[in-house]
Amino acid sequence: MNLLTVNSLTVRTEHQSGPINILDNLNFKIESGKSLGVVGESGCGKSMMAFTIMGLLPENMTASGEVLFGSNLLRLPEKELCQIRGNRMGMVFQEPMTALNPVLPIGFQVAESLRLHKSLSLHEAQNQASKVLDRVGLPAKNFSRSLYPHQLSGGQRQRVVIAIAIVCEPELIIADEPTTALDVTIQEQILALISELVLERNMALILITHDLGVVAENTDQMLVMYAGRIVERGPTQKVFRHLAHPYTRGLFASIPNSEKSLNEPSQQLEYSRKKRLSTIPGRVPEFWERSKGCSFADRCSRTQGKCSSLVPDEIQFDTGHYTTCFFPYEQNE
Amino acid sequence: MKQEKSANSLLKIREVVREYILPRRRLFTLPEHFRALDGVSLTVNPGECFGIVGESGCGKSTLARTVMALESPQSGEVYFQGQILHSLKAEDLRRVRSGLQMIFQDPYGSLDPRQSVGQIVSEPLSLLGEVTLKKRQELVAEALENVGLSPIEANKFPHEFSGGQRQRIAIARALITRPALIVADEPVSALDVSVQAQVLNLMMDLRDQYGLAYLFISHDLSIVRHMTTKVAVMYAGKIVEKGPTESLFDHAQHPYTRALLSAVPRPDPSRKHKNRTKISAPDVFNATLETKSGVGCTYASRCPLVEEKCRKKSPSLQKIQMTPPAGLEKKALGIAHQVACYNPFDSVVSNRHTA
Repeated sequence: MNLLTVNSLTVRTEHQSGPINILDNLNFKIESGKSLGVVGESGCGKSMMAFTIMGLLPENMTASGEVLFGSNLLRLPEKELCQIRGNRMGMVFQEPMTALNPVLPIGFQVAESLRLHKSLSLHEAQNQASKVLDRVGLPAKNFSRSLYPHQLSGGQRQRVVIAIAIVCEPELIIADEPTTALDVTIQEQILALISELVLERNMALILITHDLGVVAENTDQMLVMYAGRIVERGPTQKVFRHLAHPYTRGLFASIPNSEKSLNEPSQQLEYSRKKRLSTIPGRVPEFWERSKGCSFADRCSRTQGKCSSLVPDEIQFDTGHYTTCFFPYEQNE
Repeated sequence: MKQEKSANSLLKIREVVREYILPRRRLFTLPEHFRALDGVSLTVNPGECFGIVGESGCGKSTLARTVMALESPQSGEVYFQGQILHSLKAEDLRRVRSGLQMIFQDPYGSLDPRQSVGQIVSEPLSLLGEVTLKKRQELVAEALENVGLSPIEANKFPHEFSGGQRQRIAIARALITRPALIVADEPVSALDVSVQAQVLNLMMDLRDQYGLAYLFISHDLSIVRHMTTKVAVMYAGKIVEKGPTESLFDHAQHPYTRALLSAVPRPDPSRKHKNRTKISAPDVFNATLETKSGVGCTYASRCPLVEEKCRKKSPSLQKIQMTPPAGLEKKALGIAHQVACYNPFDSVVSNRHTA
């Protein structure tokens, strides 16, 4: 049973050069208890996608297509959206510093959405909030509920943000770069906490990140976005085993040591001169610079005539594994 | 005397201590001290890339600022090209600084939005005294070409460039005085993955071309492994482990280094839900108490191998006896693998075998 289904989702806005598509024809599904990783570089539309699902699009943008979460969220009036947002859908933001209100105590901030959505009394809400804070690793005996965000470290603040996201027991959690501002050791704890909660409460998770390692270790399904489009999607294991789209290949090749694990002894010891990293030439095009055809065409090494004039259709070459490319890489290439 | 001793190394940091005075808790109590750097020593040779890793708050950036002579240490010395940096007069320091440049983390914050690229890049030239306008333009054009930008771009302003290009401008600015050492404080952490690789390649090309040395500060362990030849791991103001990069990454000895390495997410889906070495959360309240008392190993409260003596006396950096990797003499490594721990990994393993 699919919890969330996104069908041909397109987000448009007006630019001085004419209408442009911020998101272009996105299709994907997610089931309860599963996690979906979204990877891509800055400006590829990952966060816009999250905002569209949450119904938080800026006013100058219009969305078309379908976001099915019970009903089509794009058609719902704001009043009904408010009952879903924060209640059946929770969001974890990137910057725990700016996501929290600096002048309110953490206990109050966690209780706030309970009072709003579950119409509990202040006392009841705060009791329940306190239990959730216990669950995310901030026990009441060490962390008074009257502490303010500035009295906590970055990782602890992110735990508060997670508590706010899960307090109403949502069915879907969207985490937008939840660990980018944190150290690796803290990142590991926060990701483990999110994964645990997703399993424990049978929620669905959309994990937005630019770190391929995070996607590999924490998700069941993944999609790779480039310039507003999905270029590759499928089960995480399959995608990692067979990188089909030239952009996905380029992205993997440009991480240092991607082919050798950090703890494995290195085969070649090059002390004097280390080898160069492979790069994707050029840069991500701005929205108004995107060509008519495939948006990766001008950086791609396999580009041919039709790439710059036609948008490739999504093709499936393994169960559930799709790519949007005319000339995808074969398995052993 | 001292000058001779450090003549062949480019940068030598000896037992540097930097303390900050915290605001007093009550009106009549003495203010507390916080040791951001606690006896840090390291040596960087010409043309070498020395990596510093550690979590936020471990003193990495204070070290960078101390090397740049933006902070002065309470004790210990920083030798640059044989001179003690912090004893120089302002005028001499300015001259020495032309051999010492910095690249900052955020290419959006480190470039003045009101200056043209030409002005930004040529600004360090004022360190060299009088430079004619023509010479100035030539140097700017050369610096921009070195980092892969066209000299025409000198008339543009920073907002016209992408993040990766801005970081190239920052590198051009650092390069224009022909420095011997560049301190790079998280130079690529604000950039996208595909652009990161371009900037890292550029930094390595420049090192080969001009024999630059880097003090490369980063929290990204895979980038440090790729870029550097020597690494120091810092924790709470101290170096807990240092050594040749390959040796340190392949045979990490300190429990903190091992925890750090195992926490790095790897692009390998088969690791999912596997038991990784657990690292306990730093308890902020205890940690501050311990830094106050100042005895014992700073990592003791998080360490899985902690013993009684760890809490009593802080371990010092000790060389570890190891067979050097095949085909490499110890001398070629230039640095011994050292660790500050009573229970380094190898000894724990061998104890287990004998028991």
